[in-house]
Amino acid sequence: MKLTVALALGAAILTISVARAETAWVGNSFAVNAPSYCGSTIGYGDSNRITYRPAGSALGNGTDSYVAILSQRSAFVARVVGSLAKTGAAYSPLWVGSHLNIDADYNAWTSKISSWTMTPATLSATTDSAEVTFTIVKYYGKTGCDVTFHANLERTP
Amino acid sequence: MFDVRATTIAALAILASGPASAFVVWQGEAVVTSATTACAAGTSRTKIAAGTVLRSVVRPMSADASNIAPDRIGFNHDSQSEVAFLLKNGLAYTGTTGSATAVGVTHYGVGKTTATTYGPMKISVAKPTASNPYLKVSGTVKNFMFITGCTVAFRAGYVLRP
Repeated sequence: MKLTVALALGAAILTISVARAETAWVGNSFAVNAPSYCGSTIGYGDSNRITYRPAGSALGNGTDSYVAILSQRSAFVARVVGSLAKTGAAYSPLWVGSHLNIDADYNAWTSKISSWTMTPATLSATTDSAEVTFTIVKYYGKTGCDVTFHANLERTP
Repeated sequence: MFDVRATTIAALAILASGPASAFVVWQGEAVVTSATTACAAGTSRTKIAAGTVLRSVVRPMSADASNIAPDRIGFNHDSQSEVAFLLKNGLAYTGTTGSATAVGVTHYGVGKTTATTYGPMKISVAKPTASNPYLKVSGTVKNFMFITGCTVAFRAGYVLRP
C-alpha cells in the first residue's frame, strides 16, 4: 500500500517536472509609427527585441500576459491581467528607462493596447512563429506616445 | 516689479545648460567573473555564467541633483532581460548584506520588483560628477535577473553618456 502511494507520488512529481515552466516567444520589432510626443524614447524605424508571454496554463504561463520590449539598455513591460494581449486590452506598465528611471509598480495605473493583430491569431505550445502588429498607448508613460510596432515572434525552445 | 536682471540670468542659465538632460549616467559593459550554478540552470539563451557580458548603466546619486537617491546600477542581458538595482547602501558599500530593490524583466518577459541583497561593491571614484568621463565598478549582487539563488560577481567599465 505504502509502496503504491510512493510510486504514485513519484509519477506525479515526474509529470510535474516534465510540464513546461514558462513559454515565451521572442522576436524583433520595428516602430512603424512613433509620434513626436515620444521625444527621445523611441523613433520611427527603431528596432527592439520583443518578448511575448501569453497567458495560458497549457503554456505554463498562468493567467496574465506580458509584452516586453527591450532595447540594449532599457526595458518596458505591458502586463495584461487575466487576458491575452488583444485589441482594447488594458495593460499595467513596468519599466526601467535608459537613465535607470523606473516605474516599479505596474498596478499603479493602466493604459491600453489599442490594437493587436496577430497571425496566427492564437499561440499554442507547438506554434513556432507568428507575426504581430500592435499599438501601445502611452509608451513609457508618455501621453501621446502611442507607438505601433511590427514584430515577428519565434517560440523559444 | 519685473526683475529684468534675474530674468536675464535665468535665460542665460537655460541657454548654457544646452539640451535638457534630466539624469547623469554612465554606460558600459560588465563581465561576470563568477556565478552560482543557479544562474546557469536555464537554456543557453538565459544562462549566466563566468564570462557572460552584459550592457550596464550606472547612476551615482552624487552626479546630479536629478539623480535622486539611492545609487542605481542596471544590467541588460542581450535585450532579453534587464534588472536595475536600487542600492540603498550605495555603490561604495563594503559589507555583504546591503539592501537593494531590484526592478526589471525576466528572460520570459515578466516584469518584477523584488527585495534583494548585495555587496561588497566598489566604485573607482568616490563621488563621481559629470567631469569624470570614465568609471569602474565591481561587486556582487544576488537574485541576478530575478533567478533565485543566482549570485553574480562582476566588474564593469563605463563611459559618461553624452
